[in-house]
Amino acid sequence: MTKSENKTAKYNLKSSRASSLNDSKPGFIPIIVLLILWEIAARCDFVSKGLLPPFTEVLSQFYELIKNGILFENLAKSIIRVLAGFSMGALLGILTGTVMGWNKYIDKLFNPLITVFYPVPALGWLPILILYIGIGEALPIAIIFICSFFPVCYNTVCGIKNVDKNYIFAAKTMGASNIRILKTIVFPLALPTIFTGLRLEAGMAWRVIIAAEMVAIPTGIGALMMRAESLIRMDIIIVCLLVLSVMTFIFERFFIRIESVLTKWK
Amino acid sequence: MEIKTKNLSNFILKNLNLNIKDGEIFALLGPNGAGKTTLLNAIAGLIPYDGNVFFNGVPIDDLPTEKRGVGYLFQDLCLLPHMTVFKNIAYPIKNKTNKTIPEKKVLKILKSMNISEFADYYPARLSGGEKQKVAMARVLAAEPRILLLDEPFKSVDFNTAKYMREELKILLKNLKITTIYVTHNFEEAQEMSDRVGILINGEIRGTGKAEEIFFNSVDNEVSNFIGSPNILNIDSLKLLNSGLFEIECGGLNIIAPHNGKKIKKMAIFPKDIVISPRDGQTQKFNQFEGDIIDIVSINSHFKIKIAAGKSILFSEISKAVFNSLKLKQGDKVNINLNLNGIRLN
Repeated sequence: MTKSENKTAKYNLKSSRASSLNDSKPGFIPIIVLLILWEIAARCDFVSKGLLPPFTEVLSQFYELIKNGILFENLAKSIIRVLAGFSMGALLGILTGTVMGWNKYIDKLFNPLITVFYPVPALGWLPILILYIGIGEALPIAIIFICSFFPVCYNTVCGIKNVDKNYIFAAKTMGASNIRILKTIVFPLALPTIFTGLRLEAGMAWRVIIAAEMVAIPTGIGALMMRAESLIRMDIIIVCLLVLSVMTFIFERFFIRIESVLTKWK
Repeated sequence: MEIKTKNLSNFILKNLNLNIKDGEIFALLGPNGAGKTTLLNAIAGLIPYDGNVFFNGVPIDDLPTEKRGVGYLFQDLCLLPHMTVFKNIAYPIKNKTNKTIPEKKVLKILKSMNISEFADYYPARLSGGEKQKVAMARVLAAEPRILLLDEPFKSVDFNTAKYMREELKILLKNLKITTIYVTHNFEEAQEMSDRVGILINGEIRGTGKAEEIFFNSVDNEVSNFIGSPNILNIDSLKLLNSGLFEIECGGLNIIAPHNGKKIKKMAIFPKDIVISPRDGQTQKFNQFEGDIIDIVSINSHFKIKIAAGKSILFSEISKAVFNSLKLKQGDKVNINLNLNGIRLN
């Protein structure tokens, strides 16, 4: 194979990879079919309208909630809580995880604590946090912080530790200092594992905030759902669920995009 | 730059002493697990060890790896996958200068190694040979005091490796860099090096020119490692008209090409001695009669001990050939020597 043929083969491989990626993108046809079936089932009274309002009624309720500002008001509160808790938890998780993964003494010191606290479900902290910090804006942020910190820290430790030692050895023979090796080799190579943690936890943060708002906080999307439940307003509950689904999707996509930019060498 | 190790040992290396001269290409030969990579790692300061390593008579044991000035080409090359070829080569230069990337210098290196067109490629897009060149360019970009090459052409096909070895040897000789070249292939070591050291079970079993080691194996393990050649002392030598020599050794008359230098010994590998049932026909060039003395089964082949003339020769044949020939102890056989397999010293 000549060099030019070789290059063509590589480009073909790249384009075939790209097309296989496109193939794996979620199609919209199943969603449209589901919505049509939903509409038919509700309109033809196969299911009680109280339990399953038609999709078009849900849409109209969605419009109403936007118009009167209720949806935006509650969604904004949930978004702020998620962003504040997640960004602090993730940032501290990455920082702690990097230091633990790089320094075996610090790892020995903190690893037992991470091992003990990591498996505790985030909502398990709720009773303790209510007693410690009371019901207020700090509570959901603290819950999201805990929900994000441990998994992101754990993934970062794994990512840093799993970087092939030979790259570190090679960098040392090339005269690189420890801090430069961490900055230019170990951390960038650990990014795919770190982003796996960030991506999963970004979705998880939304699931946890909804649960926390349902149980203990009177505002936010979760609280709106609880109020709708008490009024047996299935249409509002479904609107909230759809909004939650979209927000989780947007957050995860955001991290996938950032990851693809930062790890384009993969 | 001269490198010397004194009583170097760790859990694999045993009291190892080695002296490598300035500008020399020293091939470190040994089977898998002998401690070759461990020795390179110790010299580079990547692993703990007892003993001393000297560069130009100065001990460097207290220096960390990054200050030893060692260029190390790892077996798996270790090209940084998240950096382009350009950045990979710039990496050691930037470590030294601690300033912005000296673009001109990197471009010059890329050009000299004929890899300019791959400057913006990530390593994953390169072929084995291209990766090899980039890794070598990166090692040399650091301007090391000593070069450690750990089986550098392991992942390259035979023909590419041969071509690249030739190029590398010329390059190293031009740069006059003291080099330790690790391999488990004797031919490769002979081709690349000024001197060879045999490392077996963490011990240096001999150093010298490749031919010296080949014809004067100090023990069975060394002999086994280099392929257990049959070594015959030469009794007399006669130049034939065609530039060939008629060599008489151990009661056998052998015809072989030679450059006319004085020779004392002849060697031939067991695999280059072909045996067949005696057919009673006239003997041709390099064909002799022999008697099988012993047959030993080793893994997938048989080792046949044969008495021929006044010599004892060993031949190696596969199980399939052995079964088809139905050989047994005491059989009389014809022995054919493969002309290309004969070495003279």
